[in-house]
Amino acid sequence: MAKEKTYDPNVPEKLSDALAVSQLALLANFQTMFSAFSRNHVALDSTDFGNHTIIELFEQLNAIETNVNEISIYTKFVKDQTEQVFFRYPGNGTEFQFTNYQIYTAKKNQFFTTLPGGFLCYFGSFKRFTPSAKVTKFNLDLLPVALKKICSIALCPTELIDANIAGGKTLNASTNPSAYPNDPTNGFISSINISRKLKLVGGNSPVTVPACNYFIIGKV
Amino acid sequence: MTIDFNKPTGGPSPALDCSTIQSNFKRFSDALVINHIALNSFSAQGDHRNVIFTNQTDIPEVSKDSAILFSINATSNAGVNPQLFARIPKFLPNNIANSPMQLTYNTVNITGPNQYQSFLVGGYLIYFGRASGSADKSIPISQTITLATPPSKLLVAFAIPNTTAMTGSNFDQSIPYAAVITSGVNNKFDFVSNGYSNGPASLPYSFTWMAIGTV
Repeated sequence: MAKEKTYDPNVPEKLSDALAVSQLALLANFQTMFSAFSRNHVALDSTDFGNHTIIELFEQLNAIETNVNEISIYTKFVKDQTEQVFFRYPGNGTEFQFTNYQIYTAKKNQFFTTLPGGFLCYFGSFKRFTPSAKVTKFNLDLLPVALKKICSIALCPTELIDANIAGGKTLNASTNPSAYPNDPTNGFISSINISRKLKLVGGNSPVTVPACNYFIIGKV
Repeated sequence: MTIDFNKPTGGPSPALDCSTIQSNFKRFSDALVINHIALNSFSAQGDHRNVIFTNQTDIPEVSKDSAILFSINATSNAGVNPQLFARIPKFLPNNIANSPMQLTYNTVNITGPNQYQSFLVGGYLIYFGRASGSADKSIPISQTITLATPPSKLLVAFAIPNTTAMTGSNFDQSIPYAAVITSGVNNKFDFVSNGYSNGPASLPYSFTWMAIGTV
């Protein structure tokens, strides 16, 4: 019966076999090892054989165990996401998620990137906002809508504007806008609420929000 | 000798193809020892020691249930250089292509002391540091930060004052500030301030700053 042409470590089967008995199995073994090594590597019949072409990391169900002198990199599926790249430190140490989102250009004047651990950073700029009697604040949309928690918001004006307020007083340009996350929709925070107010006797007075750059960090 | 898939033949004696079989086995051993623990090691045979990526000319496909790492040429303000990329199998949100994401850049600046530079996933450079000077009372502060490793495009800049001004009302107040990017100038930005309106004629000031640009 002809042997199946897949890798078989148990050939030749008998020391007394003539080579003809094991020939096909040996050939299949060599071919299988060649084909397997060609995945992710420069092929064995190339002059610069051995180095990696790419590294394809198939999904692992659990964190990979590491010895004291090893760091591991592997892929696991993350709920509500996809297969993501993970690191684990030596000695079964801390595991953290390295990738966590597909980066793309979300919209003009807003960019985002990722940080290891499942964080997204949004950064960009918005223009000056002048409040009216009806609209006293504005929403800065965060695209993509992926954050479940806002960890940090930093605003830096890109213009110096004082705000004239009632009574001939001036709100100094150093008075920063305030910013806080809007309530989540379907579990995701989609925007930041931004305003600038001066506390006056009898209530808060909304004033002009200067154009700003922003840097926001949140957890996916 | 490279690998020979036609050996052994079905001859009666292994001696006929002995050298070829040995050569084939040696080829596997020689190949695996590149980037991996050698086959004749006492333990961990096959584990990676390191990973050297052969630069790719085309973006590799990624299949379901896996993610890939690879090297390919990328254009930046430093020229065209191989960079490490990651590609995940499907895209979030669903209407966005799962393009590869650049993980690395040519340089970092970790020496400072007043300017540092690193990189962020997606082809961004991040700069941060500290600047100081002395301000005369009522004369606006304006100082230019020149980024030592220029980005292709400067996207955002931040400046935060670390000093406060003593006001006439006898309390400290942060000095007003702003970070200003001049359109079309990608390696510089200014931080500006109205300066101190009260207090002594001259006071030192200090700002910490951060900027992000594209590679």
